[in-house]
Amino acid sequence: MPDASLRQPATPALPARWRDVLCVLPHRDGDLARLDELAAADAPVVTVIGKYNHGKSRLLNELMRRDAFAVADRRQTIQLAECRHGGVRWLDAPGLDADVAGEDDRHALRAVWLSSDIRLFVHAAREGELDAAERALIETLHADSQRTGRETLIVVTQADQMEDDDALGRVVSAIADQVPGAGLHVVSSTRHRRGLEDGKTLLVQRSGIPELERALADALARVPAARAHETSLLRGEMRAELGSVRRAEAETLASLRQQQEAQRRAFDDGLETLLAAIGQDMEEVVALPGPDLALVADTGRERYATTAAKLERARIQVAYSRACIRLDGFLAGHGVSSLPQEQQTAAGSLNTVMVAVMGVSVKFRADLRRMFCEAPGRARLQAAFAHYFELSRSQAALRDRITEAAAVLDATDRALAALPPDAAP
Amino acid sequence: MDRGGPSPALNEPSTRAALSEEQLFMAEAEAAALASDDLSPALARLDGWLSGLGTGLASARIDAAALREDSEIARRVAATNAAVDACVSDWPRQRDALRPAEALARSLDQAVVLLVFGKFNAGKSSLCNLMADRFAAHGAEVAFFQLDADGRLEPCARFTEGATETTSRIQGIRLGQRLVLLDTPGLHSATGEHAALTRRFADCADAVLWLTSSSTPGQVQELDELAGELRRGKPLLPVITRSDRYEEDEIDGALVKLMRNKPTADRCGQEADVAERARDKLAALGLDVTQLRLPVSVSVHMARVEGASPAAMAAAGMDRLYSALRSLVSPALAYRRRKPAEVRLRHLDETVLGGLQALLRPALEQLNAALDDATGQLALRGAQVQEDVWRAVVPLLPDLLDAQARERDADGVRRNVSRALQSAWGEARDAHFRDYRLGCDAQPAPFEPATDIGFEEIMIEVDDSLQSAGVDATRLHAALEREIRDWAAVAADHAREECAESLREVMAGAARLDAVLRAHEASLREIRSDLRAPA
Repeated sequence: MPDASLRQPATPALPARWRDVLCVLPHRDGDLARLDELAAADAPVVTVIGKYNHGKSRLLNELMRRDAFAVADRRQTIQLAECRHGGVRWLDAPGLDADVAGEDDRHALRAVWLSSDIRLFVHAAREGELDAAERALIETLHADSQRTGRETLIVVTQADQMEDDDALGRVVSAIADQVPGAGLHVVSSTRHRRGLEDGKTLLVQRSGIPELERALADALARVPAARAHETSLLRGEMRAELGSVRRAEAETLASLRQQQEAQRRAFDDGLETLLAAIGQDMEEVVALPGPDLALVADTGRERYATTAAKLERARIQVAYSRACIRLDGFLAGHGVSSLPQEQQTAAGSLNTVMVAVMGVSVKFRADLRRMFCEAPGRARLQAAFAHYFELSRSQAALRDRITEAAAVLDATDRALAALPPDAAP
Repeated sequence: MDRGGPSPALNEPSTRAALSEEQLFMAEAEAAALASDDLSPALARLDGWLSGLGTGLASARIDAAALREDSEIARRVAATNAAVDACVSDWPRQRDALRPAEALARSLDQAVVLLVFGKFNAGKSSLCNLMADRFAAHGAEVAFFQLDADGRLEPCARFTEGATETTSRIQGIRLGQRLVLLDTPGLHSATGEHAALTRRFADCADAVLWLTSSSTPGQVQELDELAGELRRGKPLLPVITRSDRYEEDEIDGALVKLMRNKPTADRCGQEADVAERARDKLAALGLDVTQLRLPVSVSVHMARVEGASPAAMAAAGMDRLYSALRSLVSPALAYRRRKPAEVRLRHLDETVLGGLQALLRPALEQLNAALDDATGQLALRGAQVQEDVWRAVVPLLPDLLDAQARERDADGVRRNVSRALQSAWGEARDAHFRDYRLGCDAQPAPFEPATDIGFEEIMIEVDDSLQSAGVDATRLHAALEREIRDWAAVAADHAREECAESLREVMAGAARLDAVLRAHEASLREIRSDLRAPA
């Protein structure tokens, strides 16, 4: 029966504090989970991995000196199982290639990647050479070991199931050729068990387990250094990635802001120039001496005055119309009128803007002077049109893009803060 | 060497009851009726199908002339057409590549062929050698052969046995006159042309033995490689090989080893597990699970002890294997009767149609996605064209009006606005409808605003007569803005509609090509089900 301490590790949901990092680097979820494992500073984890029925559970039982994991001559471990013993967490990963839909394989790989400090890659001697899937996995493990310092020991199991030492030697050397540079550990769990139970030293000696235990003890001694290396490596990699995201985003933001400023400056400068030109033209209209005859009613007055008043009104109307047309053209060019089809709606329509700024009342000479020829009047127009410029669709769209870029930049800063260079999170 | 199969006496009914499973299998295999159906109508239908496919594809080339060559859609269309051309022009070569397999099929014409499939360490060679020895022991003629690249058989030695990969060529054994075991190098380890060749030789098999080692029994992903065989309705028998283990002990300071059969309980457990997973796998592959026979565990090593005595053979599981093989003969014969048509059908299905599907399905999917994307963008692009035209022309109005105010020439203003619109339109169209070759139909109508509104004279009464006091352009300006807005909206709609029409035409072309493919998928399925329907 399996040991009572066996439990299924929960699928780790990443804690909230990684939310900011995940938001920017969603593909780093595995690395963040691994950082948590490292930060927990729990006992070192040894994981066995390999095809099902290659004696993974049996090997773990020998290394722990007790029957913690169930064994049988068929696919057995379906889910990841864990057991603590001797200051080590032992993980029995489900066999690779064991089930149709690949559920076992996913569990096995997650265990290998997330939780383990040391991997025991198990292969039964009787199966001969490693197959393509096994070779690919060893290659991946080797690359990871180069990067993170997590070690993989390759264990050829069931040495007792070979006809003789020659047959075993042929298989071992064929495997050694497939994975050059990797030391192979040849073991027999059956010999070890039998040797211990019956007090037969030759069996124990020929089991290869004592040598594997020594190698494992050496590897376990290197775990603290490897963990420190891996912690700073993962942090460093993610900080570097965040840094480059940050640089790119800051560049985008700066260029959008520049664009925004340049557009606003072009609008302000253009409008100022236009208002100055209109003001100059208006000077002629408003410069006439005497009272504003336009204010004189047509009725009950002498003919001369009436005619002069009409003339005055006509001149003011012409000048004011022309000013409005010029302003209208300028505003259209800067997108204040937005899309033509939206003209028909009240909001944002050019007419609405003109009416809102200029008013609908009949203009007299004094009005024109105040509006166009005096600095405060021009400043009021300048400010009022600028207000509608900011409300225009194209400016709103630009502002949205700026907000978006700033949000990403903020998120990146928060992510960097959540992942300080060396301190524990 | 003029011996035939096992002694004819084996077929006498009076002796059958006393015969072992081994003898019964040998006798039944030797007596197999090797009739063949008349397949010429089916072969003619298959030829007709291929020429129909060629004609259909030629008439379904996609036309993307309405889009510029450097647009994404035009490039995808060109790639799709090129993919079809490449497939069709490769047909003769693919047909030639089939000939070695056909040659092999002819040379094995008089036998039931069992494909022995499994990984390099599954013990294929050991089992084949054992069966060869057993047939020879019963007086049958046994001949080992291997295949050269042209599908010719050449004699060779017994199969090499070993734990490392040794089999690298297709080899076989003729057992008596009517039975052949065909051993292919692992289908999965072969690559490229070699893999294709291997698969074609596998066509010759009438049934499949899937050998899986008791060390890791039932790695069902291996069945992916067999899917092609199983789809042809061939029966599948899983054989759990090497079902034995060494027991050892330390006696007087030395290790002593003894090999034993795995206990019945272990064998049953493995067989049940392999049966369950193989069934799941076949179901997952969409295959008929009734093709699957119950797995059998054997140990060739243990069968050979005591000179392959009946007791050793039985304990090693060989009797159960023979019994399972006997039940394989009849469905194998059913496949064999239609084999020439099946080989042809498979070529058309996997190489011709499969090749087209592999290229065209993703190409059409990407093309349709690009078309949907472009269609979805048209509304926005139309709006951008309008906006650009508006922002380019309306700011010109004050100067255009000023220029003609003295002459009160409203028509002159309209002419100049028209010119400005045409040039603004051209730029906006090039910016936003760059991908399209817009024809004459997409040219916007001339700008023809109503002429009833002009400059307004402001007349005042002076000394009983009306005099002009100036000219006001407000109404003309407002009218022009309206007309510009309407014109730009109509012009953009018009161009957008022409672009949409171009996209719809390409979509229709893609749908036609897809329809050709689907129609031929369906008609090939029909030919297949007719071929396999019980006579």
